[in-house]
Amino acid sequence: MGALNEGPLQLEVAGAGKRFGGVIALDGADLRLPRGVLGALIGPNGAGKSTLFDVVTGVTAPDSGRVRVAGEDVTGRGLAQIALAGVGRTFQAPRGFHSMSALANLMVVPSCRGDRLFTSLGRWGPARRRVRERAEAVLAKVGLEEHAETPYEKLSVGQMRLLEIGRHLMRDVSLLLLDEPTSGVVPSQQAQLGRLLGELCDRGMTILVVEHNLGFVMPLVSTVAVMDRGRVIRTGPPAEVQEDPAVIAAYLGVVEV
Amino acid sequence: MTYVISIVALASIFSLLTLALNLHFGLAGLVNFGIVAYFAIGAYVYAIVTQPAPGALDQYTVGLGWPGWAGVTVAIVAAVLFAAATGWPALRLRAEYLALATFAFAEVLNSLLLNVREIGNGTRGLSNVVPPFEKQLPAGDYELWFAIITLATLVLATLALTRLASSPFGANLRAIRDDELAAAALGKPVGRFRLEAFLAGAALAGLAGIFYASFTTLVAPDLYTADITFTAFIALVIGGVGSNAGAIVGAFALFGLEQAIKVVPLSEGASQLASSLRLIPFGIGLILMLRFRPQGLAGRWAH
Repeated sequence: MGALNEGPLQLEVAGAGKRFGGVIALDGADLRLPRGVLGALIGPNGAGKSTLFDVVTGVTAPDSGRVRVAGEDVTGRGLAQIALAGVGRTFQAPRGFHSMSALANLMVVPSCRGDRLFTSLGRWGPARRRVRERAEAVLAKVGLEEHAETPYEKLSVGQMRLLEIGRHLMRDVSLLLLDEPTSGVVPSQQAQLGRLLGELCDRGMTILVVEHNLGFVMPLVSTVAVMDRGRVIRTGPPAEVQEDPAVIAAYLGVVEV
Repeated sequence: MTYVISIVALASIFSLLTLALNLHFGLAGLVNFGIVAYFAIGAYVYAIVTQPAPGALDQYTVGLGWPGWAGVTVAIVAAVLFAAATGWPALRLRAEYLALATFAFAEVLNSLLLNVREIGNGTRGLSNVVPPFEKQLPAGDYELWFAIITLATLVLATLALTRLASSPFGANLRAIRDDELAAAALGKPVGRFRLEAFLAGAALAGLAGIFYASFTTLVAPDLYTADITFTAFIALVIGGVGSNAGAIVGAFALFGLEQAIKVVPLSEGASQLASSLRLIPFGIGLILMLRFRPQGLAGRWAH
């Protein structure tokens, strides 16, 4: 499929297949995302978007096909290993550390003196204070500065989503995959989220957003990939993709003749 | 007086074990239904390393006769090694299967101690365990000094665990306990963190076992059954899962109550009845606790 070819690829999925029992979730999906691009992955429910995220981030291994991040083949590696290769992701249902405050959710992210058994009794105070300052800056960046001490469970779903992005900003991430980041987020925060994603992209991060809220995502992104029945059926600039008859058919559920 | 002293010593020993369980279960979320195994390894290895070579009536084969400090060191190392051997496969399992696996490990160990008489005389056990510091202490006040040393060890262990729980290491354990997938998505080596917590808790359980063997001066399979595990769990739930203070409050409340029941003067028949019914108030107490104060006496509910 017609991929954007501007410089080196940050993410390349080639012929990814994944089957759950009798259900074919991915049926040879291809995706190519150049570095520094903000892209959207759209498609009807059950098209395989979240499974594609799972396969790219190592939540599940693909049955077939390859996944490359910045040219490095990461196929079959686990979630934590792929995360360390610079991939961050959020989940459709937001996840977080529910016994901690919003700030502590961020502070736990970086490796820090005192985070091993034998250093835990030593002097980790200064290192931890530096992490705390960074966490406060990130919290402000995602617009949650007033919620530093709010317990995770008291946050709204939208705030949890913002915090989930914030956790990945606490570490070295070059590719960020966001699964429905605006669902549950109030409009004013959506605007802030859009600005944040644009700013991250300007600084060289590659971002792929699964989103049903096309009003939010279409003006924001420079490339759109459309999935249907386990394949990427179209990739291109938003304006072109939206006019594509195959895309319209997939969304309306019209059977192609 | 001696009676109170021995309750303090015993409650301190079980506080150490409950603290170990809290590190596993409360902080790291590892459901260890076989914590008695690490407690038993500490006790048995200490006894084997320090006891004299077998006599004519003994069936055990190894008695090294080493000094107490060597026994303590070897016993803790053995508890850690046993934890590494059992934890390495078991920690990959989901919580409910980890509970089953650890329970099974403890039962297998108990069965070995019972049936392989070459280890520790089978059912008869090893009597005359020599406490590590018996010779250095004034003979007349031995019980008092034993209780003081046990209590001091408890204080040190509590300080260390409190520091550990508030450290970045402790925060990582809580994060993994709260949401393993979210932690892995940040690149956290979940297995390594769990193993480190598991080994540290096992070392503490082993230390508690050494104290217990020194307290009873006897190690026998009967003393290291699943009852010990359940006692620690009950103490932890009463005190507050996830709280170090809770582990201690729970252990002292449990032993204090049990001993208090024994002190009530009763006729012979009534005391037999009381002894067989004594578990009932604990059961009722546990249910009331879970219903009305799930965070425990001293804990903030951390789940």
